[in-house]
Parts: sequence; structure tokens; C-alpha cells
Amino acid sequence: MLDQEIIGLFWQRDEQAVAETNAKYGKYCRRVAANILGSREDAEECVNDTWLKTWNAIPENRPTYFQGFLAKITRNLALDRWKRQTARKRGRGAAALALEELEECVSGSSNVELEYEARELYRAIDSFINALPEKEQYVFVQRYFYMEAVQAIAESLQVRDNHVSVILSRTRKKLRRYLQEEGYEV
Amino acid sequence: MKKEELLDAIGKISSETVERNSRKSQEIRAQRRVSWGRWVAAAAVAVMVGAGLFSYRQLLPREDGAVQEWKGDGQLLSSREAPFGGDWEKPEEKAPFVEISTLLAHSGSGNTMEELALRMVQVNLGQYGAQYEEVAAISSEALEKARGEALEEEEGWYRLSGHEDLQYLIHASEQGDTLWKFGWFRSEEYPYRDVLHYIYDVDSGDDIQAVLLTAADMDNSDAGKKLQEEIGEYEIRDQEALKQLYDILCSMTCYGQNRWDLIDYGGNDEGMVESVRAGRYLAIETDKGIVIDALKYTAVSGMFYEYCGVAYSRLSAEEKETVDRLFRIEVPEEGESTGAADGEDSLREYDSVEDLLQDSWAVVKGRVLEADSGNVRSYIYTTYQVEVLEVLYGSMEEGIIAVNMPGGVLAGEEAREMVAEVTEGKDAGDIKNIGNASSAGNTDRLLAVGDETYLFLVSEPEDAFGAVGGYCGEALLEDGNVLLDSSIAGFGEGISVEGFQGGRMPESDFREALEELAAGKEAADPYS
Repeated sequence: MLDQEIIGLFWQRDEQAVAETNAKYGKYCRRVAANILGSREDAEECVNDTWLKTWNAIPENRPTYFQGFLAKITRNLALDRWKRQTARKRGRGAAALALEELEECVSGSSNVELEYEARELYRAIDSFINALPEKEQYVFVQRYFYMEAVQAIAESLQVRDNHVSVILSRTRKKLRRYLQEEGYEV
Repeated sequence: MKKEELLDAIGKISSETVERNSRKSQEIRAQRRVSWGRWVAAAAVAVMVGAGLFSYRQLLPREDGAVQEWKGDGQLLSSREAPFGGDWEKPEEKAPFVEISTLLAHSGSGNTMEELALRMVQVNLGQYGAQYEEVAAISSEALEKARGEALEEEEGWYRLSGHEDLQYLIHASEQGDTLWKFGWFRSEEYPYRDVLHYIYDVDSGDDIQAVLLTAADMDNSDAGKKLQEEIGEYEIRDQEALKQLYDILCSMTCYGQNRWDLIDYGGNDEGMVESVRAGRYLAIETDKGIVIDALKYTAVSGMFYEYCGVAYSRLSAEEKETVDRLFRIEVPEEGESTGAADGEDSLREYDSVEDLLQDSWAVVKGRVLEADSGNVRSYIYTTYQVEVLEVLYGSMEEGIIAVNMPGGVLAGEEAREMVAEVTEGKDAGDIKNIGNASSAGNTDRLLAVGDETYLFLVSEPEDAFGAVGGYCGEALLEDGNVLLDSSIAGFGEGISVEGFQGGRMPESDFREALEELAAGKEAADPYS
């Protein structure tokens, strides 16, 4: 079924929408969640939450990019879940590693308290990502959005791990410079 | 900003960006798997269309990101689930990567290089026929084990294991396996971009990790070798520089082999020293672990070329300027002195202290009061103010003399070390603006303020008095010894006068030897 047909089902409040979404993007979303949570069971629960959130969200929104829309919901739900888990027990995993890497882009003190500032920040990051060369953009999003392991990205590109690490390091430095230029205190 | 806020913000990027990236993921996988096959298929299409057999294969991404393989007549051949849409596809098990250095034989084993140089073959690689030259390998058995993916369009030909590039191929035959290296495409003109892409698997500046530059070696006279040593070797690792170089390489057109008529790297009856100065040989290291070692560059005509007369289009003035800068090539304008290696303009070299003394109008012992280094066209010139403590030979009236110490050009790690040494260990004035330090000159023995030294003073055309020798002339005092290093004083293989061999002797012996040499000699006229 085409994405727009599935979205139409959501609009009509037809529960078949969830079944169709699960059939088409279930495994994809489970993969996104599993990257962050590292557990099949947690990923499954997270994806169920994704369907619920999508069900609630779509009457207000009509996403043009349905797959990206689902990925964002899944990723952010998984990240919230991961934060709750790590608050109880110090965990590691892909998200922790990605967080450590991003530390070099920022100072650690919060200055993004207002909703407006937060919205501007992700817009700035979106612009930054879209201005990156194709390969760097791919590597950056795979690592920090999907939280893919460096090895998995290297294998998908058929390059050495070190090459991906170099791209990531260079891009993080670029991001730090970019955020500074945009007026963020990093 | 906190890292958590940054991670959250990345999670809110537009759905369009996320979705585009997801689709890119599918494309990359599909492209990597069929990149070679598609190239061959494209050539096959051209043939088959003519024969009315339109049956090419096409890979089309589906809306959900899966990849479907279609024939030209619309028949679906296969369909692969997208990695995100279907089961997460395990990465294909990669064959072990074979380093070419483990297969290459040193000269003397197996066939000689001379014999192998005659064995060339054309391998059809889709749109191009490529000329390959056999190279000596350690053994047929080792090559058999190192076979990678078979070429679809040429039976019996294999990539190296773990390689996607085509720089080296293995050919299997009843006589055993042999190793072949890419030379050029058999085409009158082709873009070098195609060579980088198809042969070396290089598609952007990011795919290049470093470029090692070495001096051109077309002149092996003493002067040519000396200049080669001065130029030495150095690496480019700066990513911006590598991108610039990649773009320039991609812009070039290759005109195939045996085009010496197009290649001009200078040279005349008097030798090719200037060709050495303007030439660099490249070793381009890619991120996949291969080294492209075929390209040579000459600033004489601003062009790249290769072994066997493989010629490339000349660079534009702007491109040439960029490459010359990246390669640290400075070719003097017509009529301009090149300094050290030049003929009449350069300072005279001496074979012995006796000869040196013959030209000197004084030999003095002095103490350095001031030192100031500067950079003139990448040459270091250091000016010292030296207080004369004692006159050992000739006549000397001034209490303080100015001494010019010309240097030479040096680059790379050696230069950095030297500058660091000078900066940290010697008070030689302001050298911040020195891009290159001197190797053949005296910079490695730069005098510091307070140092004592013996100076052989010879006349210079201008007012300043220069220390003598090929590049220098000071006899540095260090720990009670006089250093008269042959490389410093320009004495070639060494100093022939008794007692000076090795370039180091006690100060008392130096003075005694000098006294003996000076006896009966008449000092030169400083104003003649």
C-alpha cells in the first residue's frame, strides 16, 4: 500500500492503518529502536508506542515523508525509554557512545531552555546536515539519528571503520564551528 | 549546550532529511553491490541494442526502499527487501584484504623486471580496454590464494581479494597465476576521473588519505642529486588540500601512452637540474589502502605525466598555481637566480681549507652579538652582527662585522624539526616567517647570540661580508672543538687538509693547522 493510502486510513480513523504501517515499516522501526535500546523486547514495546503516537498525531498532521516521520517518532521514543533506563542503572550501548562522541561539540552547560530556542536549534542542525556533502550527511545521520554502529556504517559503505570515524570526527568539528557561528554557546 | 540537548535536537530534524537518508542507505547498498556489473551492463546494452536484443537489467528502488531488478522488457528478475523495510540485512562477509606488498617480488626473483616489462595485455573493462603490464609476484601459489572476485567480462581474470579497485589483477592460466598492474586505457582521450573511479575506486577528495611527494630523479649528476636531497619528500594530509588536488586531477584529460611529444619537463644541454626542481613524483594513498604511484608532475609545463609517456592535458594557470603551492614548487622566473645549485651566481665551493684560505682576506674569531633570520623566496638568510675578538689571518679593522649566511630550501619533517630546533635552542632572531628551512645550508648549525665562531671572510659584491663555502663558512666552536662539517662548508666528500678530516678537531689543533696553512700566504684584497 502506498504511504498516502496508509495516511488516509489514519485520517479515517481506520485501525487497518496500524496493521498496514506495521506490515510496511514494522521491521524498519524495530531496527531503529533496537539500535538505541539494544533489546528486542524493548524495541517491540517502543514500536507499539510509535503506532499509538502516530495514531494520535496524524489527524493534526499529514506527513509528506511518512517513513521519516515514523523514524523520528520511533527514535525519540526509544531515546526517552533509554534515558529512563539509564537513570535507573548506568547503561552503555549505542546511544551512550553517540552521546559521548557528541560531547566534543558542546560545553555541557544548558542554554537551550526555551521551546523557541530548542526549535531553532533543530532547524539549525537540519540546515547543517543538509549542507553536508552526501557521504558525510549519510554517515552523520546513520550515526547520530539512527545510532548505527560505526562498523555497520563502514560495512554498508564498504570502507574501513577508521574511514567512518574520521568522517564523523571531522563532521563533529564542523558542527561545533557551525553552532558557534550560529550564536549558540557550545 | 548539553550533549543530551544536541542529541534530542538531532532527533527532531526534518522527516524529509531522515527519509532521504534512509533511501540513500538502500541506494548505497545497491550501488556497491552492482557498481561493476552495471558498468559492464551499460557496455552490453550498447552491443545488444544493435543486435535487437534489448534485455538490459535495471535496478530500481521501490517506494519502500527495496531494490528490484528488472529486465528491459519489463520482466521482474529479482526483488530484495530493503534493509529497513525487511529483515535487517547482515553485511556480506568480506573477503580478507590482500596488501599488494605481500605479493610483489623484489627484483631478482622469478622473471626479471626487464622481461616482464615486455609483457603487456589488454583487458576489456566495459567501456574501456585497459592496458595492463605484468609485474613480478612472489609465487603463483600466493596469487592463487589472493584471488578475489572474478571479472565478469574477462574469463580467468580476478581482482585481489578484498579489493574493489582494479589497480592490480590476477590472471589464472594453465601456466599458473600471474600479477598485472594497470597502465592506461586504450583510448585516444579519456577523463582521468574515470581512471580514479573505475581503476582506483576513488570518488571524492575524502577517499584520499595522503599524498606523498618525492623529488623527480631525471638528473642524477652531483648537482641533481644534491637538489633531490634538498627537496626530500613530504606528505599532504590536509583534507582541504587533498580535495583541491582531487578536483584538479578529475579535470584532466589523458591522451594515452607514448605521447612524449606532449610532455615537457624541461632540460637542456647543460643538464636537467631545473627539471628536478620543478618535478615531483606522487604516491596517492587512498582510504581503501591502495597506493596510486603512477603520476608525475612538472611545473615546467604545468602538467602531469606517467611512465611510458602517458600524457595529460596541461593545467590552467590557476590550477598550476594551486598545484605548485601544494607541492611546494618554486620555479624561478627567467633570469632569476635559483641560489644554491646555480652556476656563476652561487658561492664557490672549496675542496680544501687551503683553497678556502686562498680566497679569504681574513680569518677571525668572533662572538655573535645579534642574529636575525629572514625568508627570501623560501630561502633562509641569516644576518649576524659579529664582534671580532681576534684576527688570525689577514688584516681587519672593524670591531663589528655583518655576516650574511645564505641558506637553502628544505621541506617536510626535516624542516619542521630544524625550525623547532632553531626556535627552541638557538636565538637566531625572528624566523616566524620562514616557510622552509635550509638543509644544505647552515641552518642546522645556526649560530646563537653569544656563540663564538671562526669566520673565513671573503669578499662579496655588495657591502656585507659573507662567510665562505658553498653555503657557509663559519667554523663553529662547540665544547672546545671546531666544527668544520663538510656539508656545512661545502667541501664535498671531506676536507683534504691534514687534521680536518671528519670536520671536527680541538680548537688548539685548528689554530695550529691554520697557522701552518697561512704561513707564506698573502691575504686576498677585500676590495679587489
